[in-house]
Amino acid sequence: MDTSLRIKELRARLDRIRAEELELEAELCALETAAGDTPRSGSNSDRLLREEVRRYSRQLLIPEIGIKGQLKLRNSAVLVVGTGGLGSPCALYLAAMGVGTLGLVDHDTVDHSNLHRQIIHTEASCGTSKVVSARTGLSRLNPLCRVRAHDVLIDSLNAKEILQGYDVVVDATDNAATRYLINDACVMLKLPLVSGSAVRLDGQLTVYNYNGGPCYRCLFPKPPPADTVASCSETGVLGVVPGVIGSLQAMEVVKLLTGRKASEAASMLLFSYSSQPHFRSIKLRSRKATCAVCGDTPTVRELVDYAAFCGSGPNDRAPDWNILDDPRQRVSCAEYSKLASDGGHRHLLLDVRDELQFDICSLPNSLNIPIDRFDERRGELETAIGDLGGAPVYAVCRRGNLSQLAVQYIRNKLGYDNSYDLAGGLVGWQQEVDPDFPAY
Amino acid sequence: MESSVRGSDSGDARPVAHDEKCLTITAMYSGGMERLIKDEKTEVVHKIERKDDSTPLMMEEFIAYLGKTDVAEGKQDMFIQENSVRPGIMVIINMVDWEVEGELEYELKNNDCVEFISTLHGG
Repeated sequence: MDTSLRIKELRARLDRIRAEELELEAELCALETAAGDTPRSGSNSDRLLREEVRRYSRQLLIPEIGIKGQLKLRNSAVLVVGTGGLGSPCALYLAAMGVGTLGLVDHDTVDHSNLHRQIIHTEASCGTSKVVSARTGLSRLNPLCRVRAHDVLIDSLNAKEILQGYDVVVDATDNAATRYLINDACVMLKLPLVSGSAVRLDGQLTVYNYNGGPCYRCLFPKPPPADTVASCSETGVLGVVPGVIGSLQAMEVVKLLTGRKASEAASMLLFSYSSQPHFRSIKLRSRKATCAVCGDTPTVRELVDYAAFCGSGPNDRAPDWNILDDPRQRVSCAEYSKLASDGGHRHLLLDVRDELQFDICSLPNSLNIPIDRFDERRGELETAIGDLGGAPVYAVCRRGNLSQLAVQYIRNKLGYDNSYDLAGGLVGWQQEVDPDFPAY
Repeated sequence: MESSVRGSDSGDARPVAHDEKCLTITAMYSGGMERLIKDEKTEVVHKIERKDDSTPLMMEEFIAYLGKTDVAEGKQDMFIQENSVRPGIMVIINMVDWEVEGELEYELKNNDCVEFISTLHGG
């Protein structure tokens, strides 16, 4: 047989097998969830099986772990909330190191833009539920690890029920609202919380609610204003940064389970790609007597509405704004496409994203002036509009949010009313007009 | 008051200059905080003159001072709220959480290093 044909055939077969594996795993996952086990229904004994000794031998040789420590890992249940950039390496290491029961919580599905950092997921699992995809990765790695999948959005109503029965909780989520929710639930259930976060080139790691140390609220009694919170989907993240933090979260879990953590003072580890040294440890306060949730006279005694508390919900994605009240100031991508394909339609297409994003992709013949620099480059903007002879300006950005602000600016500050926003932005362009356009 | 400004690419030698009536304080910005600072500087060394030895420089005054000297035009609201730093900014004094040191009532000493770090929520 022709070699290239055989290669093609093998590749196609692998794709089919990988898709089938996910299907089988999803069915298995559904059946096991229906069986109604608890975090505590895993095997609990004071001896390791022969296959466990073989698998964990290199770890058994370390005095800090040994048989005693390994048994503690095996007889423990750890809940990882979020199977993204932090949860992926954390869950992989916990399963690999021999944690007996691992709970996973996520409500999302795998997307291609996740894969550069969420290394438990694969090309084949895009579109599949994240917990099913993660479970598939874990059962391949270590079938001795019992995985409990919670394919739900954790909220005030279900959080305590989900957390109940686990020994340690790992916060590997991506938003402020869920961080406060998990913290409060951990305080109420007296569970230690291993919290990690990562954005861009920086990461942070802390163990909360443990051994007289602070809880998340002791450190951050008030949530940050919603518009100051940076998310990975908006500001980006270097793949390995959550990898570093997530791996360290797994290490902190081991320290908690083996008892080592009890001798350490509360601290926060700071990591940065750009700092030298990359790691620094900050000494933290103790539990705050006046803390609203873990203090001496707590005012938060039940889980509350965390989306309201934080001013933004558990969603990493940017919201769609409606700044321009008048729908006539907005033009759909499909409409613009028709206008622009008519070569005689004189206009200016103004791309208001920053230069970094403009370099990723842009529509033909667009002029890039970032909205943040409108004041500074006002002369340039006025010249471009002046040259139009009254023809329309269309502002475009990634999702159709900033472009509305740009239209407001052009109408109100420059007094040019023949200006419109490209509703839906470049993401909309990809969906409505050109599926091959490389929107991000 | 005068301040000298250094970028992240500068050497890491701490200022050691000591004057009875002048405090040298390093302010550092990271975790995204640097985006609120003029020219996105990550480190600014301040030499702050005091009227006499007995006039202490308290944290509250220092934060207000940084709001004027270091923070970029129009971004003050994202740094200061109600005479303190806005929620979501951690303050670290010489590698220790500022709460341990008395927060706004901390009295700054010569050669102190005060860091402002945004809390991260992504993952």
